[in-house]
Amino acid sequence: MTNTSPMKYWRENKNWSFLLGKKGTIIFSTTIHTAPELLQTYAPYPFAIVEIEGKKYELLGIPGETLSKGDCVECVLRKTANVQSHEVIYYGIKIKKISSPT
Amino acid sequence: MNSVWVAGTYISKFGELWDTSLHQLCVDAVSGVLENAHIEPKDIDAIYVSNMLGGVLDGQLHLGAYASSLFPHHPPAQRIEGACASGGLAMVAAEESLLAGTHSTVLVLGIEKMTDVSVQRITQALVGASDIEREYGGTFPGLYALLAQAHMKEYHTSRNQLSSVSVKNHLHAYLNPLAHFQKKITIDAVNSSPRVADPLRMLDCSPVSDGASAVILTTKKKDGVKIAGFGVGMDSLCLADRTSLTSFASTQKAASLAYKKADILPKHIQIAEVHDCFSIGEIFSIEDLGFFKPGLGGIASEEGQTTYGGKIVINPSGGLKAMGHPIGATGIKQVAYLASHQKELGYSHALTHNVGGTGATAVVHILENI
Repeated sequence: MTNTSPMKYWRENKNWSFLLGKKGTIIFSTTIHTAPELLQTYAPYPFAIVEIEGKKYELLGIPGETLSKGDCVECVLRKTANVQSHEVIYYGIKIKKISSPT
Repeated sequence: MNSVWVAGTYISKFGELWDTSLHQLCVDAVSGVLENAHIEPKDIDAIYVSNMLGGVLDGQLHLGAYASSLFPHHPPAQRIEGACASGGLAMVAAEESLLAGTHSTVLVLGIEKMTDVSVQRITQALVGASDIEREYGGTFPGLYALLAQAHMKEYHTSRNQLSSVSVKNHLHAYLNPLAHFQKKITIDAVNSSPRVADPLRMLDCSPVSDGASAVILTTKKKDGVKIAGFGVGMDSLCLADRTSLTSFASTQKAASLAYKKADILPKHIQIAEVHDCFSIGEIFSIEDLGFFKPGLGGIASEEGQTTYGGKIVINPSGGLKAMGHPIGATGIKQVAYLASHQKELGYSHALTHNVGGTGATAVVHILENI
């Protein structure tokens, strides 16, 4: 999910698409306020270590949501970078909160 | 067996050096360290250049030749890159060449020019120290924020304990004319500074700095400051692959190797420059290096155990937080600073600790004043 060329985008996303629709649990999360160039328009946004089917991943959250340890999340397809109008629009996996522990 | 000695040191002013180019940093460091060591240029057998972002931000690669061009005999030179641990790794490469007998006097040079670009651009560039495919969307402060969350959850490390690290390092830097920030700050100032990545705030973070540092190492001396031990430790690049998020196995491994080579224990270290790229980073460091037990680093910092009059002096220069963090220069600056102050301060054993990424690489050096 790095953003350097359409070929790289195509190649790397094949490694991520299997996560689409899967559910997981937040291990630790933060909200990023100072973002890199390509993500600046999304800030502040959550970033978390999430456990999905026994494996840990580091994934972006949906801007505006706050994630906490123990939250149940689902992997959804979203834009993952703010690009110029002539560039490929980058889509990738983000985690969306489904529920918090009671 | 040969021993490696520090023959000369140089540290530039760290900060936003708008009128100084990458090339000028290099020129000033080379002339400064040669003058300090009283060594002629022709006596340098090889050069090890530490730099991370010259190619990304300045478009200047081939930094070995860049430095070698300043010498009339063009000694062999190479650039070493290991993210923020580039300086420590360059030191190790130089030391190994000396111990192997390949060279007898070498220059280790660290240069970094970071302030010519926007905050967003430098944030993007620094992400290159993480796993850019598997940690996409993370920022460097964001990854350390996750580590802080883990430490706070496991050991109840508090907001004020994090802030006490920054306050202490700014106090130390107040006395250092080469520091990026010669300004005292308070716990309240840290706690109320802008949020960067929760729980880390702006004053938890080391700055983006320009700067250069250099040391000349030799096997020809018999007294002064000796490199008594060094070690390199590595771990997974991606945080999600770690077994622990409250310590760096790389630091523990590097420290163990260095202590063994120097034949000393953590309790013998009296002063240390450690990798406080973020306040939580210093707490990890002082625990992983064995100065304080796991979970007690925050308490020790808050109680003043890491400054003059405490158990050990941590980051007398002001550390990365307040002296500044020109990436390629940092690991070499740590050695240069302690080697040049160790004698006057009367410390026999000193330690430096340089980390790359979020602990994927760690380098530890132990200096002995003979």
